[in-house]
Amino acid sequence: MARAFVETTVLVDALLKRRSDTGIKAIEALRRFETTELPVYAIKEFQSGPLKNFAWFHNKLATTKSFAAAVTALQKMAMTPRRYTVATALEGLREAAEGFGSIPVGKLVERYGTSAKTDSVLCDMFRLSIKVNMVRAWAKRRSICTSTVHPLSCYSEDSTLRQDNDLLVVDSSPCRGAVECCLAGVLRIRQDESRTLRDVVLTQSKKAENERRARTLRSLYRTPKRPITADMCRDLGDAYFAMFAPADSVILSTNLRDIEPLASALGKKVERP
Amino acid sequence: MATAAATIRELKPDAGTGVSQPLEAKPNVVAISDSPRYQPSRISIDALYPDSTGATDVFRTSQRLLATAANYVTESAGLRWTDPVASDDKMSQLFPILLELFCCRELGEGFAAVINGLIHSVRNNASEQWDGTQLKEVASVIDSLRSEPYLNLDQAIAYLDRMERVELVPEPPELDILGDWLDGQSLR
Repeated sequence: MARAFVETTVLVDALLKRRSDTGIKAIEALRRFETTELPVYAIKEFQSGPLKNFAWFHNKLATTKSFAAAVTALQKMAMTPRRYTVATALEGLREAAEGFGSIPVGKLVERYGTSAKTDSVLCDMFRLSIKVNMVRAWAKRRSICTSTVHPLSCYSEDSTLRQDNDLLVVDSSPCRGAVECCLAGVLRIRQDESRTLRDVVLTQSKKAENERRARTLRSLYRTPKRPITADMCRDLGDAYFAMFAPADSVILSTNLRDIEPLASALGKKVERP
Repeated sequence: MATAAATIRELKPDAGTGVSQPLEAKPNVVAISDSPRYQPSRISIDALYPDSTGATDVFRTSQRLLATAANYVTESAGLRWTDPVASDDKMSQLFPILLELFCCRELGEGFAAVINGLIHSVRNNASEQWDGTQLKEVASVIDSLRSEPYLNLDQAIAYLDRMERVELVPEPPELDILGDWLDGQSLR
């Protein structure tokens, strides 16, 4: 098929993880399609998820000034890497530290002070690499696909990523103070789709994200006059892509487990890069 | 009464002697940018900061280290065909110089980002043979950094892009692990 509707996971892989296997696959998949359409909703999810997480880790490095302390903080956040186990990921990061730790820094510490210690050097190396990665990813977000579609008039990208002293700030409330989400009008006339998608969500795993999604979808057809808020827009998540992907397109996503049942219920196709 | 314009004399260097000669008074004013005497010319960093004048210790150290780094890369390029082992060894010797340069990162974030990129390019290419284009690019980045060490992050990213265009990888491979951990799929 020549037309792809790009979901957030592929955007993240192509922008923030471009050297990893998943990143390379994402970039190759985007090249395979004649037309790749990126909905602004994916940019909004990219901002509120991965970009915010990267900024958090960057700022942890900037404030602790210690690679070891920042990795410990990451471990305590109880997040689990997608492909690695926590132990494997920690081992990989420890190996990085050991690689640089083998270099004698004694004389450098004498000359340059604590900034020459291995932990401090690693901290700044990773902080700078993360920052460069984030700045570059944000700058390229709208050029990675052949077109950016479905603009959201109540969402602003203007001050998404900015620097405050040594810290990176990702705007946590990018939706402008409109009474309701700009998608409200379109969502209200898609009540049948909302009902179908909610039925599917109820069969999916009982995670908090799915419960919020089911509640929002139910609200769309049960109480259509109720204002559709920014939170409800955010909670749509995977359902947004199933609902708004053009019928002649394929949804490009790595999250087939969650999106495929939703898309299938509306007669749409999903493909992994 | 003579006008101000009439009293202005344009000075034009004599082609033979280089000495400026007064010309006849002209009623127009000649802009400095039009004068061949005031065309911009590049001053070398060594002429700008001869040894000990006005620069900080860190700046002077970074200049010395960058000059050493540039020599290693030039020597590596020179040995590439005649003695590939020695050529590769020169690039290995570059690594501790770059690490010491990273200790000069107080010079600015752009400077630090480019040195960081060079460190990881060398580290990631350790098991490969350097090709001529890569050596040329590394030498060019070091030269540029030596003459313009004060960069902003956008300028630094342009340097990193140059390294990537010659198949160098100017970032730690472990970034992949962090990316996997922070990609939003693993939120608690």
